[in-house]
Amino acid sequence: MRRVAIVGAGMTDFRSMLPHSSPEMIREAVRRCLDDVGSLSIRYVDGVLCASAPDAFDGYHDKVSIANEAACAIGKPVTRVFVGGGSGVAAAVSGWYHVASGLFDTLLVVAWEKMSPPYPHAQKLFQTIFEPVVEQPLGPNLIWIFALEMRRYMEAHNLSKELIAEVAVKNKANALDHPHAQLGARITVEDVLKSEVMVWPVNRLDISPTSDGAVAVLLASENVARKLTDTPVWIDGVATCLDSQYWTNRDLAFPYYVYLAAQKAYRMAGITNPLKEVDVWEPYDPFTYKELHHLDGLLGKPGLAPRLLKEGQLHRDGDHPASPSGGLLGVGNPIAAAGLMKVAELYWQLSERAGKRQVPNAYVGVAQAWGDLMQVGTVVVCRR
Amino acid sequence: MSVRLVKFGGETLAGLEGRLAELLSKAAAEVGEGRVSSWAKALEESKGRTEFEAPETLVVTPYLLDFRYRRSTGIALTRFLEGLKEGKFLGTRCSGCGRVLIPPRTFCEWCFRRVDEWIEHSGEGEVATYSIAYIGTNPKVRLPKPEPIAVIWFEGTKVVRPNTRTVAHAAGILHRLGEVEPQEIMIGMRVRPVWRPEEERVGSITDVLYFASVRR
Repeated sequence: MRRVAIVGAGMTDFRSMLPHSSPEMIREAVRRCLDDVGSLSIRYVDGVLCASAPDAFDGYHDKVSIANEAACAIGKPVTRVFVGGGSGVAAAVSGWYHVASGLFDTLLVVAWEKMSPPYPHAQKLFQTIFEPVVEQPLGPNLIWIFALEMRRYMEAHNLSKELIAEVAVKNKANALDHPHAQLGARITVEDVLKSEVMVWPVNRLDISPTSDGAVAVLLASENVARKLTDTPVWIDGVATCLDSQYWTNRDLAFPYYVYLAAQKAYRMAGITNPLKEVDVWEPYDPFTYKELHHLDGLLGKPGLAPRLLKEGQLHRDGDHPASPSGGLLGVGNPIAAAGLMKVAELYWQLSERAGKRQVPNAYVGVAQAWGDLMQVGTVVVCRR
Repeated sequence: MSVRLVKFGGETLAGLEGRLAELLSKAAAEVGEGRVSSWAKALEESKGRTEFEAPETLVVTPYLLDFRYRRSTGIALTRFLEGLKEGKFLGTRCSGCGRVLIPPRTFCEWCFRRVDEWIEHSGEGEVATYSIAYIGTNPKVRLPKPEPIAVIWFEGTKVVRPNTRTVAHAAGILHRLGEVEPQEIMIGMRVRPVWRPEEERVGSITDVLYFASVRR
């Protein structure tokens, strides 16, 4: 199999109620991505891989069909991947399959979401994620399952809400340096704890926002990558892993599926000690505790991430920077686009183009996303 | 900047059943008030901040989907629901790995073999995790009284991973807790189901009103 590199990336601002249509938004991200590779003509794009979460947000069946033109996909093979929230990173993983297989020399990976149109709130559409016979009659809300998982996680490692709230403080502060961020802010632990309780122990500021936005990344095979850029960022490990949909039959304290996916990706990338060898982490952080929970899975050590947070090591200037981009809590959470934004951030960090967000001496990075009904882990390992 | 809402004309509504037409005009009216102004506000804010061209006029078009579903619940869940009507928790047991499966299924996802041994469980168990819901399905509506919810793991069904002491499997369901103050709830607390009176049961998960603490 061939080595695969990221050679360019682009994204729109993440905003609530972005006044553009989905195609306008997608085309803007794609244009920025191609401009990043020396204004590459779309003639050199061999194929397109799209990721976007439920069609219900757009109220439009198979919403990839509205994206084709904007994603420069006309006359080209197009694939859509969908694993809920994990879609963004799963798109990079599937993109790797396409290029590594030898069938594509260049592949454009595009992810977007437009969550503003449904009202009163996009979040209501998530009720359909629950099992219809034994769960929906209870009138659940998506946040219920996160609150249940957070409480179990807190119990397993004796964590306080104060410590977990620091993730929001850190990520929203990191996002101040991100030009496309929706919610960059200086807040305090106090602010998080005093924000409205949604489903205890989850408060409003523990949750990432609903957003509109698009991200595009161009992948290329080794030979082509070297022609297109001097700073390719190599995707050296990819993996995804799925756990059971019967989430009430599992222990929510540790994301086993993330752990298994990470181990597989590390083997591919030749990483034996992730804590020592990985310089930048972009774990999926739709909720504050999720960053720690996922990092536990990525590190393979339950309870380690909260300890690192307490010691300040997850900050951008710490030994193990996590979500230097600002993550979903700070940059925003247009579902599939948010996952691909994490991959794009690795590209910017490892090619030393992250500007004010730059982590010094970043050589190896890991991005991860998570989705479906708390059951899928998608992981990429990148290296410069 | 001007803001314009595209409204449904009379001809759009003609031929629809009365209730749907009513819903549709209600939807249009709602968009007209709150929603358009928040879009307009967002547009105003995005000008100058968004690097790429923004629309001059905001046009918002309303759209309403109205669907209802009827599902056949299949072999395993039909029996489970019938059991609930009789005040029993029914599950299946895999002859390969020995796991008790509640909610029941007709196959085991670990062994991938057919599962046809049915067992009856008292429904007693422990709180695997809990939280206090201030909102239900509609995120914009605060519940009149916060409701404790929990994942219940049924007694004697846990499979523990020996190396990490985490639970690899337990028969369990999502439900509410009752007869308990939020501050008294603990993970590991023993609970039992509280059933609706027999004549009120319909064969639904809500035939169990809630789970209550087993006090010793």
